[in-house]
Amino acid sequence: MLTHTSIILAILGLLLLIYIIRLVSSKRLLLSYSLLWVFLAVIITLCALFPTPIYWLADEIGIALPSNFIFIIGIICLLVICLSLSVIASKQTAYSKTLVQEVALLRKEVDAIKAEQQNIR
Amino acid sequence: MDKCNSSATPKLKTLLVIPAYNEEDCILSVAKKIESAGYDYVIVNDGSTDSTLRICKENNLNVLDLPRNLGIGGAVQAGHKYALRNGYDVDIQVDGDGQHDINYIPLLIKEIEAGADLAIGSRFLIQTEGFQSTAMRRIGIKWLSFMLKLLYKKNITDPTSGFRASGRRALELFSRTYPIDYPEPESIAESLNHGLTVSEVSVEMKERAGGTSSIKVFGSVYYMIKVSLAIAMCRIEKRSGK
Repeated sequence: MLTHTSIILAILGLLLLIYIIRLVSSKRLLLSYSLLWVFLAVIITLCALFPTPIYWLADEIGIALPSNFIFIIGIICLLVICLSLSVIASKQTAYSKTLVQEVALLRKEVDAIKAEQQNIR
Repeated sequence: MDKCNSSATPKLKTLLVIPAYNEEDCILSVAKKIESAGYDYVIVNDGSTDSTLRICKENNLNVLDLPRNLGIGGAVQAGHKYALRNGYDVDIQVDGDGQHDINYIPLLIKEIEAGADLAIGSRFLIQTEGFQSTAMRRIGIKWLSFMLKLLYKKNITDPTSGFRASGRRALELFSRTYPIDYPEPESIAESLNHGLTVSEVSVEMKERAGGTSSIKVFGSVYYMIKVSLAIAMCRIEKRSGK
């Protein structure tokens, strides 16, 4: 049955989902990176609204308290999101490094051209 | 390259943007065809790992070399920025694999002259003999058409076509913001958000001349879900009153 807590959680889950959608539609968050967050928000909302399957699943897997099960699910989701963020950050590092090097090389070429023009005068 | 007639309205300064990622097989023939047709062009080398860049340099082709791979969205946007900065009125995206038939370019330009901001070369506007893509892709394309019709009340028969002409307003919009992941359908939604006129022109495309497509399994459900979400997000942004 739906308790106070589960209704509050469901609302929080929905608010999170709405916020994510706003971030994506206003282009502050890329759709590709938002999918894991959407998954998390949906899971929170569903678990809050339909707790019975969670009790059953927790039992099947052998976890004592259903709440532990929900925490585990939440932690796993956050782990996956954090890992994906590290992967993204790594890619950004590589891209930034390339940009810095290219800018340095371009500057050197521009300086050389300027020097040549000075000499011609 | 000025094409000003002494009479009538001055012709639009046109640039062909050729995004190329690992197109060593066909990039030279594509470029040569364009050169002999007399168009200005720029090849955007999207961090190719094969000899695409070397071939361009050896043959003195006009190439914009991206330091890293950005994907089709980033590469095409670089082309739009190049067109804007070099004073072009319209640019035409021509894929580096030889699928786009440059004989249709005057048709696209005419559509821009007639007032369109974005003119898309559609394979499906009129039933033609040309390459119609695989059945799986056609289903996906029909779905995307349906989404655009549903969310924007706009009938676009070939939303994934990269063969498109962008006029001044589109160039300015795309230079500011261009989608990364699924540029073709998303940019249509973005254009409609900003009140640009989008129209289609019937064209035929050829079978891929060489190399492999960068869209591996278009028919995959995951891709379709993501593009559909992307278009839906675009529509939501419009509603929130931009």
